[in-house]
Amino acid sequence: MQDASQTLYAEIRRVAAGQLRSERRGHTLCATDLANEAVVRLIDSGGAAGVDRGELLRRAARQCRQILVDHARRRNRIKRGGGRPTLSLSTDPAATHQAHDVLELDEALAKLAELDPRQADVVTMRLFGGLSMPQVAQALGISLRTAENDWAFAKAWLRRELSGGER
Amino acid sequence: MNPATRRHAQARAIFLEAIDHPPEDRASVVRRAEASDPEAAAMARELLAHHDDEPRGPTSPAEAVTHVGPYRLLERLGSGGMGEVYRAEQTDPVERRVALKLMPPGFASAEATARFEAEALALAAVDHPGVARYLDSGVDAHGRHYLVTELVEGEPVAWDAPEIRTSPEAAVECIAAACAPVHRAHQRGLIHRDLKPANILLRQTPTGPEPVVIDFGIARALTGSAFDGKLLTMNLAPVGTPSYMAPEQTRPGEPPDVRSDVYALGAVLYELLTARPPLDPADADHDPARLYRMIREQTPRKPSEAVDPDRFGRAHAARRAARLRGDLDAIVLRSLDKNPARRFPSAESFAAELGRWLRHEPVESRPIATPTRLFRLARRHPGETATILVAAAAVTITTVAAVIGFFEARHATARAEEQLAITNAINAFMQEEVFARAAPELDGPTTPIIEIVRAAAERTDAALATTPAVETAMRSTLAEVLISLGDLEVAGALLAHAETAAAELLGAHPERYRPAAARASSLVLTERADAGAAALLELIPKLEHTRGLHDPITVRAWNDLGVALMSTGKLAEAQAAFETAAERSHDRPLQRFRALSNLATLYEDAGEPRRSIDAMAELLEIVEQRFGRAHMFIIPLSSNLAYTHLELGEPAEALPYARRAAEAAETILGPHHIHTLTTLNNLASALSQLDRAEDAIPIRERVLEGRTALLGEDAPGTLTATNNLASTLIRAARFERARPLAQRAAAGLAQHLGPAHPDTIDAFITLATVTACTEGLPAGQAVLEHAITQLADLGLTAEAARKAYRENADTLDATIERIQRRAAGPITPNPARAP
Repeated sequence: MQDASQTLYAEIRRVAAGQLRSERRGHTLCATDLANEAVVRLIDSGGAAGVDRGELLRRAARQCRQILVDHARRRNRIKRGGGRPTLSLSTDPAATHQAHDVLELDEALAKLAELDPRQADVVTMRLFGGLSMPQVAQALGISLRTAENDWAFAKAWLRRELSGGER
Repeated sequence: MNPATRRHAQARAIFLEAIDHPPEDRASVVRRAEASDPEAAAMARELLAHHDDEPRGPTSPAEAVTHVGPYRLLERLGSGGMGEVYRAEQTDPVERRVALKLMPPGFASAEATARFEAEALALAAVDHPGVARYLDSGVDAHGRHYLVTELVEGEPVAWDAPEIRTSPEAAVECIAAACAPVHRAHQRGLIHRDLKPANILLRQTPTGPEPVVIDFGIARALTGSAFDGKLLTMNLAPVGTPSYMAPEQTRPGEPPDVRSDVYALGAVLYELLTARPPLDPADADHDPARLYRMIREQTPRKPSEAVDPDRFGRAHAARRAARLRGDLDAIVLRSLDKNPARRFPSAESFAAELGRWLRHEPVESRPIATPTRLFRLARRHPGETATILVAAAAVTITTVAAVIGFFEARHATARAEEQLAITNAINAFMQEEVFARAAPELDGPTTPIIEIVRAAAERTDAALATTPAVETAMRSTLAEVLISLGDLEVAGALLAHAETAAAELLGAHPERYRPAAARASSLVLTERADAGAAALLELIPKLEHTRGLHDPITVRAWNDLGVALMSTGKLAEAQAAFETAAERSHDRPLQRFRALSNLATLYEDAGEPRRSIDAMAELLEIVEQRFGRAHMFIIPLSSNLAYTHLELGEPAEALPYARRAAEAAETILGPHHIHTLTTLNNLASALSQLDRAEDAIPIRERVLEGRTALLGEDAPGTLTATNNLASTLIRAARFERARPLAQRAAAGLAQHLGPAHPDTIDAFITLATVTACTEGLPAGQAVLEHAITQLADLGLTAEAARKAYRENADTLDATIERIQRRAAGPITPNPARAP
């Protein structure tokens, strides 16, 4: 298990590095496929024998989040202001203008995890892991309906948090 | 459970119950909860303000809807703002799998319903294997509209689809094939409005993958509802997917027409070729206002400069870029032009152009002939290959002369035998390695020139072991030819050798900087125009010093510097560079040809048609002198000259060029070729504007006849020819014949291109003019009013619709007056103008 996890992390870093290289200024990092690709490769390579796929996806999503946050911190040190990676909470392409700063999102997610860890997991997997709702539900062992409810509520909660609506 | 987590959980429950209700009932749900838990209710109220109303359910057929009408839902295939799509099963009357689309719940007003049904009917009439077939539509028990189509088994087109990833030709073939069903739908009056990779599926057939377009008419049905007023809050954003959305689709109230779909097809092709969309929403930080401005204003990079090396791998990306550069760049960017009038007028003509590219024929999208077109033609027509080789050899022979001259100057004692040996070595090489390969009897007629030059490049070591200067010159020459042909890899290898040798052995010899200049030029052709420009700026003084100001290599460097500057947007500097190149190549027509071609393009882009005309006129002269009066290049050059003069309102100047274009086209392409008909059309326009309507009429009739035979009676091209004939007949005061033609053109174009298309507007103005001439000005104006109403029906505001016609409507009475004056007396009653 430890092995699988380390291999997975290395694989994600590799895939992520490939994505970040091609990033342009102010680019919204597209996390979709990042975790999936890493997991698929890991499974294909036989490096994750015996590990539950859902568990792998969950870890992959968390690690993607970590990578993006590290990346954002690094960028932040290099150059304050412009060029920080952002993510949108909306999956509707027409509404992707509501992009949030990755670091602020990460902080808000940490707060959410204290109130309801499952909701934070749903968001992490959906947003950073690029998983579909059925994949999220399966990985967390909850019904699709519950996952979608968590997602809808958590999105609203995060938006309010990020808009400075409450401390 | 601590108070914060408890409140959080309570708020979640209230929130979820509220969003299960329509927005207007949510406040009362929260109020009801307030009594038992005021804190959680207050939080839920705040959170509801941040809720995005993205569709959540039905989350899966098992949990929610399982049946819609007579269909059993099996699996959700996708969802989005446009509703949800399911794989479904029909059991009665036949057993089959279908695709079922459930419209979003807000989609229920009477007008939206009517629109939806009209679109469904239009879709039913399309009937093309490349469009998912319409099967059924209706309303389910919950009042939701659904649309049932054939279930297409296939993956969406993508740059990494196995067939497409390895070959740009496959991508072009795929989009050319997708144009056919789109065109058919356009002919039935249906505009897709949301073409994107997800809506073009590749169906596997025994003969290979075949694109099938899905979701026709959905976007239209939904946009209609956005103008409905009541539903305004549901969907304010223009419908479409930003990466593939045409500029006109971002302007509210401006109705898209068939050319918006041409744009989207071009955008999809761009993505298949480069692995990125032409415009990336991320560049606008996903801010809609910036995004739409970007779509309206930012020109995408050339596809050849956008090929993503991270996705294709460096080596393949470079080869791919070389294949796209030039013609395909021009074709794709034309399909993506901000101005719909400059795009291909129909999906069919886009497909025709892609077909020409696939067959290595000269394409129309680069109206001005350039040496690249020369080479392209050579690939296709081996008969002309000799011309190309002569051009390549001309450079070589100049080199030989330069080398010999150098030896003469340096070694006054150089023996005649030595010079002879060098000359012989070069001649033998050219004859055995280059010219002999072009002989059809040796290699068959289709050996492309690039193969010949590549083979020659491999032999340079063995054949040229004479002196460093000769070796450098030969390698550079071959590299230059290869660069023109797009093979940068082999050229690069040749130049690497030559550069090292030149630096070590040549000192201040004229050949010293030639390989470096060739390398800099090749940089210009790849994505690194900046690096190329910098290298050339440094090299040019050295070239001028060692080779002279007017030397062909020096002049070429100036030209390529211009190309680099132009592609980095420094137009003024680019112009100066081209002008230097043109000035210094007075006595070398082929070089001057290159510089002038570039200048003509630059002037045209800079909105200086006069200077563009001068450049094109000289180009035409060069072509006639070099290649004779029956050369292919005569057609685009003289046709463009005629067109530009016509645009400037100078029919007299246009006439001789129009005549030449038509003559050349008839000789070279034959009397029935589609391009011949285009040149004849320009000729007729010139005559007509010169008040020689009687001369123009038979030509217009020929164009109409030809297009009817080639395209069919209902094709937009045929209908515009009908309108042109009507318009010329009006100028000749032959109203009785003009009127039915104008009626047919206006009705047909409105049906096939939509009422907002400029050709349609033009046809209605013709109809209004002939009506005004026969029945008086009010009747003519009534025709215009009717056309404007049609535009307003599309969702355009009356003001915008009127504006589309205004310029022309204002001149209606002036036109009538002019016609009457010309017709020598009042042929028709005109009550409006009676005293």
